[in-house]
Amino acid sequence: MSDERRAVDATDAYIDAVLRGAAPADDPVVRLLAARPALPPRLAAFRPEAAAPAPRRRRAVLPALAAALLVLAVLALFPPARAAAAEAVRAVFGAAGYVRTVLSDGGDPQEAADRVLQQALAAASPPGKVFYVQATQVNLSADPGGIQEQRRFWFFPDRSSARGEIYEDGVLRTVTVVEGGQAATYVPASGYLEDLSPAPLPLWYLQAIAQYPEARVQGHRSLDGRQVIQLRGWSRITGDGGDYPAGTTFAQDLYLDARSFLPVRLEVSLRPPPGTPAEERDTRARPTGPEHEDEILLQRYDFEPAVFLDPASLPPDHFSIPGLEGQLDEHLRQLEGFDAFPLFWPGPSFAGHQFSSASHTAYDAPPGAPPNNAWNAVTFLYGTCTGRPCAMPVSLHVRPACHVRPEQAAAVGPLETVRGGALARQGPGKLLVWTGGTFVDVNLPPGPDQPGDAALLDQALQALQGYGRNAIGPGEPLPPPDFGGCPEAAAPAPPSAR
Amino acid sequence: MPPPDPDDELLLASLLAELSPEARDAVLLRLAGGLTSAEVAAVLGKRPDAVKQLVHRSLAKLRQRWREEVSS
Repeated sequence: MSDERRAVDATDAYIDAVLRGAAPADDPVVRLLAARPALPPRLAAFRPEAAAPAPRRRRAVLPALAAALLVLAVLALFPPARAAAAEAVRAVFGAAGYVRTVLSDGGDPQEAADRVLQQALAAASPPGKVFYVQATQVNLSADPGGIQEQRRFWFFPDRSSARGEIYEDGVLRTVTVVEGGQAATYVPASGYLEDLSPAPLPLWYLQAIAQYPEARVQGHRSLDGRQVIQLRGWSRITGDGGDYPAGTTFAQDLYLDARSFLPVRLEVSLRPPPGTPAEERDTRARPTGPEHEDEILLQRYDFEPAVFLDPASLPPDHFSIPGLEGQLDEHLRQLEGFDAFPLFWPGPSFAGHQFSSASHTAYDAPPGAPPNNAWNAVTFLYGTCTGRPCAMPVSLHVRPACHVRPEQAAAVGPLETVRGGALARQGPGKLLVWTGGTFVDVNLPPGPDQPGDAALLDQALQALQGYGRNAIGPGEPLPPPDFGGCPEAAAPAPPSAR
Repeated sequence: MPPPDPDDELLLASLLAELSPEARDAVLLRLAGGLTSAEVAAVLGKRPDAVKQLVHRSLAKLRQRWREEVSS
């Protein structure tokens, strides 16, 4: 008999002895596993006591008696383990382990999320497939049951790029693309870049399945014939809760498929404070059944099943950010021949920050996915970005003017005419410029070394100059906005002159 | 026996998640479910010897990863 075989048999005999109570569990792994009172439901059916009425196995009487005496001796020394308190934790063994680890990790939670969720994502997403996740949630903080938020995610086959869209009540609010460890988020309604920060891909997956940082795994259950993991996130009103009295608890129960981790159902419920008369309860509420006892269901959403798209069916270059690879001069060289729309930038440096990156993003919707013109831009970045999240000190996003509607920008500030172009100011660090067929979004977010002020924005406006095939110099007159080539619906009213 | 430490259980949960689904099921059925190797083999459609080996190796991997995590 080989040494390997002897070791295998010894382990098997050791496990038998531990299970009989005839041997102590001499390491924490075996001790924890052997102490588990319950298996995940999909495995529990195979537990010996579930297979009634046949005896599970034959045992010699004396060893069994000896084991029983040993167990009694142990129980006399230590109180029986309280299974109930740890039941939810134990329920995550196996399938849902990564979720619980992420939400409770004592170290760097971001690091843990990266590591464990990458594994989950890899396991859930077949190699070579585009992985699509759609989740719908309700924004309780605004108005219970009022705002429906839907998130759509495409994880691309290379596992390092993704695209996400967030809809509120059916209106597309943000588009984010992850590539090369960075994420760029756009707000198509107003057409400006909201944020540019590193965003690990797994974090997206986490956001897709569990929004509440205080979420806990409640356990496994069967839902419509599928084994699911129940995650619960909750909050409690402690002060003035408006329509809801203090002590009201809101909960979101998110059910994930136990195998794929994909969302299956979301339930939003509340629990009135103890002693609340029935007639004072929310009139929109209805009982949810014995599983929730005194809780009241506000909303229930069943998610559409995951869709796997065949990459072969995607058009070529369906998603690309070529500028994020290679050297800086290569970034700029690639853009020299760019002719989709005139480019503008403030030169090799601005406000003390050196040019650091340029990228061109293009997106053709995969089959079945909604088209989106918002994701067609050239981005110029200056300076560096550290920390998480963070914003680049200077960034410009240049897009076709047709894809941005200045009349919506006018809602936050009047349009002006400067250098011949149309201008809108948004807050202390943002300029929106329309000139010819181009829209330029200039971002100078205030920071420790860069107080946001109008003078700096004016400097940026004067520094704007053409790049590549666009020969306009800094300070020179800009062409007036030209929406003549836009679809009629996208053509805005001309801005009034200052 | 004292109640399991939740942190230990969480660590073990994360380590179990690193195993292949088949190895995880084998370990859970054998140790947490109390099945014999022959019974686990019947559930998983494998030979008992193969289950013994799978559990042995998985347990060794869990122990090693446990030591690594605890020491770090």
